[in-house]
Amino acid sequence: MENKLIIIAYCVYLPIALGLTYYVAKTLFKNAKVFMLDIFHGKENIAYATNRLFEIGFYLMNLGFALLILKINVSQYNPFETYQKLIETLSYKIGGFSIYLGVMLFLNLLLFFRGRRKSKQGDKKKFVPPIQPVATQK
Amino acid sequence: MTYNTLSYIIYLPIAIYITVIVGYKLYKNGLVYVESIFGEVKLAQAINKILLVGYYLTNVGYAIITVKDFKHVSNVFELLNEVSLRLASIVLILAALHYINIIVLSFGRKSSIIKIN
Repeated sequence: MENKLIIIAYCVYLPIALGLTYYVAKTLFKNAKVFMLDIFHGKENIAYATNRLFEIGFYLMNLGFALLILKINVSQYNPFETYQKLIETLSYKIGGFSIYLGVMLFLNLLLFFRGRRKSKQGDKKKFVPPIQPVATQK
Repeated sequence: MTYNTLSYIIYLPIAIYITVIVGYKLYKNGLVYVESIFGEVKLAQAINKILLVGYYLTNVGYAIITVKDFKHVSNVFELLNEVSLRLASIVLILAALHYINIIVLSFGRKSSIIKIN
């Protein structure tokens, strides 16, 4: 019974965690293209390449974390024998992973905002204002 | 099936449904605010979409994770009490977040208007 329940838990957890990561990464980086084009002043090749690199990093980090927290600890003090325990463990893992993904998403969004601000600041430095005629006071 | 399992089966769909509906309504009505802060329609849509996904992840995640804190339920009355308590806490948290959001948006709008002027 115990082994069967653990296998059920893994079979539920893995598709949900992997599918959630895929969906979040797809949505985030589809919308990040606008940011990247803004940051790199509309140069498409470097903007899309940077976007892709960010996406790969996001996948690596989140899939790694999803697999890292897969293991269910079972001992004689912590038996895994009822469907109630199955639901509780799964909810803890999936809910925790979902919150983690949300925090990661907001961190990425902050990075994009920061990049946008920095690139705007760079523009301002390059821009040399024309010399204003000084009004002479008499 | 124990009463605890039954309470999870009742609680989870309602909590997720409330969170998703509230998020979708805020997403639709918040777009105007985000546009007025950033000034560009495309960028505002992208930001709004990312914010919606982030909202779903954190709040649905929280709704799911509270299943672990359920007390032991042994009859129908306790089940009703426990489920309504958890749902109430989810709805109250959403309300608090919503008001914080409105305050933050109005500040952002004020500062962006000042910048334009």
